[in-house]
Amino acid sequence: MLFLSSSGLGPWTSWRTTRGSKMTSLLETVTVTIDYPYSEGVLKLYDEGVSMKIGKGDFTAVLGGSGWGKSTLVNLVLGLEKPSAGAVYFNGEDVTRRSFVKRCSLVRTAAVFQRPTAIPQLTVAQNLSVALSFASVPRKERDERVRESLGFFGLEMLSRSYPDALSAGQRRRVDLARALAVRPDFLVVDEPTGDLDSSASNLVMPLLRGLNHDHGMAILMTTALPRCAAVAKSLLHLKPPVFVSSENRMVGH
Amino acid sequence: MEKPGWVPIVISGVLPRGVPDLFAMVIVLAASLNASLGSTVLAGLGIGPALLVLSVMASCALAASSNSARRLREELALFAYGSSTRMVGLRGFLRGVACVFLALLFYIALEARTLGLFSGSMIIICLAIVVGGVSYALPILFRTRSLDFVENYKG
Repeated sequence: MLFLSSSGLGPWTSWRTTRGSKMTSLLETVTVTIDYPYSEGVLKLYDEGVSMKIGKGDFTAVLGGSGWGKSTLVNLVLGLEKPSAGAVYFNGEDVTRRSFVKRCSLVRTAAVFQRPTAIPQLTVAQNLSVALSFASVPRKERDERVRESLGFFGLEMLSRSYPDALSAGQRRRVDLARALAVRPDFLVVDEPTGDLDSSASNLVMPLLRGLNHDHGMAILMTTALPRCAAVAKSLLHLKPPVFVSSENRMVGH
Repeated sequence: MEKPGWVPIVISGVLPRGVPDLFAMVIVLAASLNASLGSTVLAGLGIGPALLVLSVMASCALAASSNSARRLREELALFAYGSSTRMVGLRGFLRGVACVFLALLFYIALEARTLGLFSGSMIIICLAIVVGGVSYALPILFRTRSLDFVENYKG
């Protein structure tokens, strides 16, 4: 495993990658920024823009503190929020103003959010099955994929359980299993260890590495923990946001 | 430290606020108008059917605006699984249609028995059902397209 630390391509973000720069990128962001206006001024995330490329087989970690825009970057990549400036490309096509569904049609993408997302009234297996139906997986294949995916994450025994009955770590693994079942080319994971204790975290990170290494899945992962980022092949280091007051004066980080 | 009194807390919660309160008031208004003016005919048209449609619209919008934690999680999951806005909107529409249809079942049966299936009342009922579906879908669409909704993914 190669871990490259940041070296400062710009004042707010820095970027190094080990591979994938010459092939068509699954994801490319070009100087993406986002501003949040307040009555006293504007909060600027990634002041000089985030630029990155993710190709097949890449595993990129976005490292930054709380409130620095890690989850917002995930939302920007997935099309859930729109950037104030810059562009997002999926498979070379500009998708800056396009929806998540459109992005999925260009690159088979799955997302695991910081907040566990499962339909509470469906069992674990049914949740995975619904996700597969949205991904247009034929009905005949679904059961097999659900079994396989739950097996990969050691969740076979919980297939008939309801999400509310699971622990935080189990819910996180269900989300990952749902993402894996779709067999995405590109997996976006927001703070995979965010609400987990250290023993559960120690289970999740090797699973992510396995998805990348064994399945060749490109992964974009955000984290606040350098030890989690160390699992990735490349690193994007976020810098704190800046607040610019109405008098156009930078108040600080 | 000054002990906070309960009077300001109670007073601050007296005034209706927010969209659900507005819809609740519209429902009560429609019901009260129906009680007093239900049989009135204006320009050849009865006020009663118009009030029915109004109360259906407000009731469905109120139901769709109530944002329970369970519903929020369900909607977050649907989008995370790759559901489109159109699909979520259609889901809301059909739920509204189902709610209104079930609620009007007795009225439909009564009207069909006395006036037949192709009476003017049936047109009003069909209109109410469609209005109910649209009124259920719109608040869901507004909510799920808002920045507040997306913020929920951040945990």
